[in-house]
Amino acid sequence: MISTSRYKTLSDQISDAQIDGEKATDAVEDMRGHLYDSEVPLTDITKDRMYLIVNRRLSDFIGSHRTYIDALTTLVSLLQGHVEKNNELINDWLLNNSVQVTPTFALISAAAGYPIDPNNVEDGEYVVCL
Amino acid sequence: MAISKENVIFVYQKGNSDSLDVATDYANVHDLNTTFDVDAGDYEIRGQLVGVQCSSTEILDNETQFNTQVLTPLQDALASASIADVRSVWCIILGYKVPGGFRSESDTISSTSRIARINHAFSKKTNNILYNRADFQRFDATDAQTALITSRIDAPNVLLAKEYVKSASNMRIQYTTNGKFYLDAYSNQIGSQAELYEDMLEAFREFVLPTLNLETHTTTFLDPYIDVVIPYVNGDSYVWSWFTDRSSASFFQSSDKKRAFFYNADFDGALSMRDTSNRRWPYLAMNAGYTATAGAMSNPTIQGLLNPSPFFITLFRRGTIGEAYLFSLPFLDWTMTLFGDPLAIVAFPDVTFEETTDIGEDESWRLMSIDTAKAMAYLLKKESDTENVRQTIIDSTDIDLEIATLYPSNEWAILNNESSRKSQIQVLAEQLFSYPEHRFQYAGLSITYPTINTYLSDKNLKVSELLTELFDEKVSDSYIHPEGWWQAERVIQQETQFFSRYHFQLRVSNTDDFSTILYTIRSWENPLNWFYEKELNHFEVIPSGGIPSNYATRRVRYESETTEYLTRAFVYCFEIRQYDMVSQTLFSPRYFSDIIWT
Repeated sequence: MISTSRYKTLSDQISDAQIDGEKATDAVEDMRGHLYDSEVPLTDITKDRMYLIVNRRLSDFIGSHRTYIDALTTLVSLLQGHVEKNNELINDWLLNNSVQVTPTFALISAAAGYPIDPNNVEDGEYVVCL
Repeated sequence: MAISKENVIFVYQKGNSDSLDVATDYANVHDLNTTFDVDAGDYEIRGQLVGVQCSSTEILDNETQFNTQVLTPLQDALASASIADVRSVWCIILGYKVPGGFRSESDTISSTSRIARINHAFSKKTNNILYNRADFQRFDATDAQTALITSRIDAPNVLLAKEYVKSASNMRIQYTTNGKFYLDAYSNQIGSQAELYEDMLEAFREFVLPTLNLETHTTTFLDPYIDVVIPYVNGDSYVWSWFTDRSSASFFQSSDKKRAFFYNADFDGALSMRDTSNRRWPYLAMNAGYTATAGAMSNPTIQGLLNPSPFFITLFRRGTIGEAYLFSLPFLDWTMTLFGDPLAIVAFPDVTFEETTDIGEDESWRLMSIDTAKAMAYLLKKESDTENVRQTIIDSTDIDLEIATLYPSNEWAILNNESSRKSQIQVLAEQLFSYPEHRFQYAGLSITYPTINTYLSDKNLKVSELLTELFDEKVSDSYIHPEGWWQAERVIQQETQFFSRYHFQLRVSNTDDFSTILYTIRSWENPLNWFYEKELNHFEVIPSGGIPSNYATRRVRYESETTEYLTRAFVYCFEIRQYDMVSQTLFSPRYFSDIIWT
């Protein structure tokens, strides 16, 4: 049976990885913006070609990192299923063991078919550095 | 919202029908409200005209007299319901027979300069924080809390005063000035301050004057002890000169061009506007039909002379002459005065200013290289995180968990492994690195078909090793940031309504609540690795005295030293605070986080 500490570690690691992918996608989006905002007109063939390629690559990033890919949702679905198989409903188990997941993990879990009650989600407590 | 006629108050001498007549003429030019509101004894209000019970003395003996006759009645009028409930006052014009200044020790303080700070206590020769802002902004309500736009329309007699107002009427709508620009950048003043002012004028001639698209006449440097002068002007719209401080009406020959602004940088041009034997420049210029002019009532010091660059940049960007004057004026509560219509707006022939948010091409490339490196750094971190997920499952003693989740966790880790990570960035990095060669194949750099090394060398740029390791083509080590190198960059803020000289404190932490501080770095202790954006996209080391507050909206940057390098692909938290050297105040912190992308 999974311990609460290992569950928390796993859910946080999954959350961190997903956030990192989203941040990488943000950076590619910024790259596209900085190219677009450059003083070089879009009619310039070099800029135009690069813009198309960056745009295409951005779509790939969004598909790979901003959405929840099958491998990720399968992993989370099996993790939550494992908890329920050995214990009780995931939300009851989280509540009874005082485990809270990150908002990002809660979203992935919902996409995997296991919605998390708001009570079991960290409220994004105040941190000075975001 | 830009200044409009609704923000203007015109001040006249209460009980003087000529003074009211001039005020009414000005009101008619700009369609100001002149409806009688109230007579409160020391002052009366007629819509946007305010009469104050003052003497006809041009220069009062002291500040007390000025406060009694002008400042206090005007403050009371502005605070009254007739004005305070109706309009925001951003601009005050002192009219015919209103005192033009007062004596303060050996200085003559200009009424307009004092009234510009009507909401503040008198502080002689105080720095104007609106002076020469690095990034242009139109005058707004926030600026009005600091200083008001002010000017003076006064003359030896009422007929001349009315003529001056008439000149203003020609500029009440934006008027294309297509006469000559006379610039005299040389004088017989010597010393380091005089040299600095000459440098300022020469910088104006080189960088700003050509953008105005005017025919120009400039003087030539002969000898440091010879004041080269413009012998006369004709067909002129603008004159900016220094230092010969007396002239005659014959200097201004006939002109069929609209005369917009005249300034001779000297020490007492504005001492009197009522003396008919006056040979000082502002009086002569107004009589020659100039819409506006400026001068000092007593020695403003060379540092106190007007700066032509912010003046004409403001006009070029459709600001009023009043705004242009205020933005080019180093000190307030001081000796300088603007004469004429502050609401006049001019245009320059066949040039229009278009607002743009475009980024310079090299800055765009630099930012893209950072974006790509950050994307790579985050993928590197994700690679590590997904591997950690897999390892956590492997390390579990729960066989059921391992059986259930190992396969998908392994699949997820493979999708984010080194090979996948590099393939995701490869195309972006290839495009980035081939861009200079394609863009500059014929011109723009030291050689045609520049290699990436040539481009990085010519533009003094460096890139992340996370990108260069993707290529067979070797980027020279000279153009690669060392692993762990980092920089922190933020926009400089205007923290107070007073002139400041900013330094900076940066704290770096590996915890988001700053419970652990890795470094505390202060620019006032060692400015060596601190830079500020002196010109757009060009950074220089912060001077030991700090950065003047007119650089607010520009950027400050810290670049790490070798001993401060951080771990690649880790996210750190940064706290930056501005420190005012003048008031010795450490301002509120700003927080941000960033990944180490080198």
